[in-house]
Amino acid sequence: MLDDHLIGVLSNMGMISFIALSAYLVLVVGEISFGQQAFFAVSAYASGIASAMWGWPFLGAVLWGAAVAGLAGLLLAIPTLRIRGLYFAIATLAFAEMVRLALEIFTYQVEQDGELVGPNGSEGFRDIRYIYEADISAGEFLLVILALLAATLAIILWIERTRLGAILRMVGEDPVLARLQGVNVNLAKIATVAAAGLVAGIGGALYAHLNTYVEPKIFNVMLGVHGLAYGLIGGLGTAFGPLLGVALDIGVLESTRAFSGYRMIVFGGLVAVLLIVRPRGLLDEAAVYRVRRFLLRKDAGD
Amino acid sequence: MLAIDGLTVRFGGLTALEDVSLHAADGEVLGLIGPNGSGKTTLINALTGVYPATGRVCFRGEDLLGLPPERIVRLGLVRTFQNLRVFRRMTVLENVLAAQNGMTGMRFADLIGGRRRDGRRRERAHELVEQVGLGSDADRLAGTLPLASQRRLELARALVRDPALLLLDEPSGGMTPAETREMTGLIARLACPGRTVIVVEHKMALITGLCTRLAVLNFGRLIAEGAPAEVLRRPAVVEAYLGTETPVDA
Repeated sequence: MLDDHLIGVLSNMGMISFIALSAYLVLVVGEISFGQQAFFAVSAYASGIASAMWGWPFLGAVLWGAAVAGLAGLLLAIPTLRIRGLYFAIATLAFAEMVRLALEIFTYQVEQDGELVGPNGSEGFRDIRYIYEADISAGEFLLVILALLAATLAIILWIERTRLGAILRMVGEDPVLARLQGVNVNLAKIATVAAAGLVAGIGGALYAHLNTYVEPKIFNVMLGVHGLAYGLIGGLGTAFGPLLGVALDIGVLESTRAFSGYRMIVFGGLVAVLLIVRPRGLLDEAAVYRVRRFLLRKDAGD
Repeated sequence: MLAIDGLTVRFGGLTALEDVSLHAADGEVLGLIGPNGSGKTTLINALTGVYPATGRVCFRGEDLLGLPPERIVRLGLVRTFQNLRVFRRMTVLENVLAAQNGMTGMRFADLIGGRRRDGRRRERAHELVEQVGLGSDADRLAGTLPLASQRRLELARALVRDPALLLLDEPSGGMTPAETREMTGLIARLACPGRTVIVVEHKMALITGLCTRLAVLNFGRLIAEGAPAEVLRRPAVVEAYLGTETPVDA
């Protein structure tokens, strides 16, 4: 049906989409994070530990990983509450590097069938074998990824239509004005950063189980920078924006090898050009608004 | 209604407001005038919790000083901005709806419920958008509106909360004379029993047409207070505010 290459590309796009959505959520409340890879990492480890060492079922391990990542988000959100802009961005970067370096020394192994299993510092964490033991094929796992992504996307899109969504956009556009309209800006930010951690965590848990092996250096800053850039390219007007960014980068630039070795140059150039001509991405608020008006008009015409 | 007692605002060594005592009665339109830099906007910022201040501000029995902005606005004290502040990436209607988001008594279900849940809110927002004359622009992005319309939007947004005290910071700033007249008419209809309006302005036509009482600030101090015609004739006010000896003809 689908060949292995295509399944691999789609799986990658799906997992990366979680980081993109995570960075997008933070962007919606007006902050830039270079550190969402930290939550991806935390959950990759936490879920791997749950399924490979504690014998948890897969879905339980994913939820556990996401919950731990959400908690890590809370841990980041509270001390960074009072800093904004550039300072917040640097703090997230520092946080992610701290997490990565902590994983370099994190060792927690138990003996299973005469072999040591578990994270072993910079050696990484091998044998997260749940999906192979349960005999889940790559194609089936792709469906799992897409189902979780669709559910996450649906929840975010729903929230964007509600008053909560409006509150988050208020905070993102003008936090002072939001406060002067009675919004508890601090609470909105803390909740969003924690939720963003959780979303990245789902992706991290999937990643660990698909690859059966994770090591700290995977979760370097470039992962977070890509996640951030997807929202900036694709657009900040709707949660479809970051997914469009993922599709453009991985779906077109990487997988078709159209620019082969020049991919990163093209990608970086694309980010630079878009930041100048369309600072809020392709699907920015104005574009979303035009599409919505077009759809409404069509409804009315029927 | 509102009683300000010994309000002082300092930024480092600069005293922006010094020992200002002022009151506003229920239903009146109080004009706040003074030269540039005399502390009018600072007074509004102190009242709304944006700047830290000392002294006492009593609003409907509650002490406002020290409360965060979001708490003060929920008590029914709502302002507009001299340097226009709207959510430019939202439509006109969304801006007015947004102003209702921070209200008290909202349950979690209201927060994450769908649009069907807020039919009443939408009706009310539509009403106000119509009332300020933006009916045909309701679905435009606020950032694309001309300045005068953005001021109207600020007014609709303030009114949607049904404030007990409305602070208007130069509501006709940057407007043409015709637009100013329309705005004056709008404001004139706002004050009523249960709603006090304090308006900061420079335009004498607007001030004398609207205000039941005037307060004059100069260099952060209150230098006069009373009926508009009488206050504007006082030498200290003429000297400070107008800088000429010509009496004001409204």
